[in-house]
Amino acid sequence: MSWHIAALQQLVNGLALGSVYALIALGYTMVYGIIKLINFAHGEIYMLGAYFGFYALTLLNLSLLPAMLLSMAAAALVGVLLERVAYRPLRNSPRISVLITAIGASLLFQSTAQLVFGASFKPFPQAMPFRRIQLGPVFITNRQLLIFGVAVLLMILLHVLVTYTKFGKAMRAVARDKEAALLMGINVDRIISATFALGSALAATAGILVGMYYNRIDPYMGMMPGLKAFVAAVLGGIGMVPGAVLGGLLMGVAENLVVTLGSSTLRDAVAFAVLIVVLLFRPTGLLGKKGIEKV
Amino acid sequence: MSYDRFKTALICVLLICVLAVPVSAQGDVIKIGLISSLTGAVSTYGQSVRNAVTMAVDDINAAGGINGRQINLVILDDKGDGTEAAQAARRLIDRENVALILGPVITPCVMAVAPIAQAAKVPMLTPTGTGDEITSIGDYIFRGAYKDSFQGRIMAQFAAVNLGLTEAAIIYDVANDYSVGLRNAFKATFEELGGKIVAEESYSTGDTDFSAQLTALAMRNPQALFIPDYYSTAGPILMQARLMGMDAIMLGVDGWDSPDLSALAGGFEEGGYIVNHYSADVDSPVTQEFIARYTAAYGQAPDALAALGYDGALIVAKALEAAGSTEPEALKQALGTVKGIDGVTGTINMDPEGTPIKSAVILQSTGGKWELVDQVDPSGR
Repeated sequence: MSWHIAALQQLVNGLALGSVYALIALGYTMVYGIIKLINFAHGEIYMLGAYFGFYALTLLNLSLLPAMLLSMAAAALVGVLLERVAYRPLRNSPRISVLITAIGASLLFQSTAQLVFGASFKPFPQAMPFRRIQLGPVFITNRQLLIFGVAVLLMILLHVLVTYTKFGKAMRAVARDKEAALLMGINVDRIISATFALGSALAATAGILVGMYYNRIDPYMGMMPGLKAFVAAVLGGIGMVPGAVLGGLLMGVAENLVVTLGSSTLRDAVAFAVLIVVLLFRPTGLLGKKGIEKV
Repeated sequence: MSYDRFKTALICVLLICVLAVPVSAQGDVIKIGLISSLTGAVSTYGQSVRNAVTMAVDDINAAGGINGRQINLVILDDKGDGTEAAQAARRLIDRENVALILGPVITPCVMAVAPIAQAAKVPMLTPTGTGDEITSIGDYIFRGAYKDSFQGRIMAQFAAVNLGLTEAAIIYDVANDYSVGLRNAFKATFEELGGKIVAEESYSTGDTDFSAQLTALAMRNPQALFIPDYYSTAGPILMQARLMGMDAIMLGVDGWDSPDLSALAGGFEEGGYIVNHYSADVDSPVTQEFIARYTAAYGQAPDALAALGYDGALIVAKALEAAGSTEPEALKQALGTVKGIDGVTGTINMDPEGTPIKSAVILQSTGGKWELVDQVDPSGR
């Protein structure tokens, strides 16, 4: 294998990893767009989604698609409850209080998951056969293809939802100006709940895809990807759907690049160096402009 | 309840606690602490060790104990985490007043506990820790397993001589002493024997994505890939490597030995070789009896961790018997000199340095089972 084929192959690997970050980042960005809250418990929703999928596949013996849908629904419910119990009572409090609550919720989910699911690493049920698909000089495994395909599909669906539906319009209205939206007869609470549900369902999908891809889940699996997806959302421009996708994909490719060219130990360091650089030189992110339509 | 009555009740409860401690510390029992990784990334190791040690202690107690004294085992979980292991050690030493610590199971935890045990002059024996530096921490630190430098050398010899390989690649965890030690030993011996390490990649503990490293390794098309890590990481690496189309011979270490490996590797450990402490195929009556009893008690065949756990308890029992007391100095002397213990993993002769002189086996995964391929004596061949 010559170096440019290897580089292409690394690009494929990076895009698969990046799709996962993008799916998680979408949840961050939607929630931020609408209530200006960094929901640090979002990585844990992703972890819970993986576990819901695990139990749907093993205990309920479902096949992949129903298991995925069930897990998305369960995670959406958790997301809605989280907002209802932990964030809504604080909606008019200083932003720092809500942020601290989010970190608390994150730790609560981690510890509870450890208690309920056990701290051991669980192998994920392999609900589809192993296959490699040759694409010219490079190949892609069917799991990478699934991650990429599902991510793209969900992003398109989300885009359509936000741009062309009445619900999407309401979401954008709430993001722009909560009070005005309320005056126009929009049920703001319901829109916020729905946003949490949507973001959580996307995170759950990412959890299942990652479980299958890496074949290993544990109660702390949400920590790193959660933080990196947050960086991805900031990189793309937090509050914007296309920004989250772009940020996620860039982060995935950048990480693979760092491991290939430099050292694997720098992998996490680079992710956070990106955050610092973005905040220093372009706080609004790559796609961010002042006054742009936010979601 | 009024405040005063509450206070009186509280004082009574506290008093009972205070009074209860000396009572339990006295009595004619020997208190031994076991620190094991019962949950976390290496939970199958810890559970195996706990099962086997419990079985050994029950055997000893049923046979009348040690010089007439029963053993009281206090078991704590370290979750495979060094900080937790250190806390467990503090509790065993300060609150439980144990005569000896058995454990922890994995090298990073052992390295966290050993300095504490050494400073408190409480003898400690890890039944399974293989990191070379463990026993150099002090004269109170012992182990029941071979060292990583031995293990890495055996695998490199097997690869170069028995399999006739000339090129190998390595992927290892830079953040784990165990993985790094094995990589160093393997590399040194393999190159000494004329082999070439054509590519090397690393990752850090907790990583889940190995695609970048494996793609880089696959480019060099190595004959073999050495993966010195625990099953919870080696499993996913094996799977990702095979899915990338790597057809190298997979070489592993004792860390692969877990009932969970196959599920985590998606079955792709098939055909791979590991160095291990013991094989179920060894035709010794002690080994076969242990396998039968363990299987009957716990519903699954013992792995090497269970075998080492059982032997670790045997070494400790023999040393306690020889020392004739739980006095740390005497116990330390005894641990370094007990010989001829007929263990599950072979005859054990302790060495004053703290490491037993033991043999190793090479196993191959064949049809979902680890089959004995070769036996290597303590001299290395």
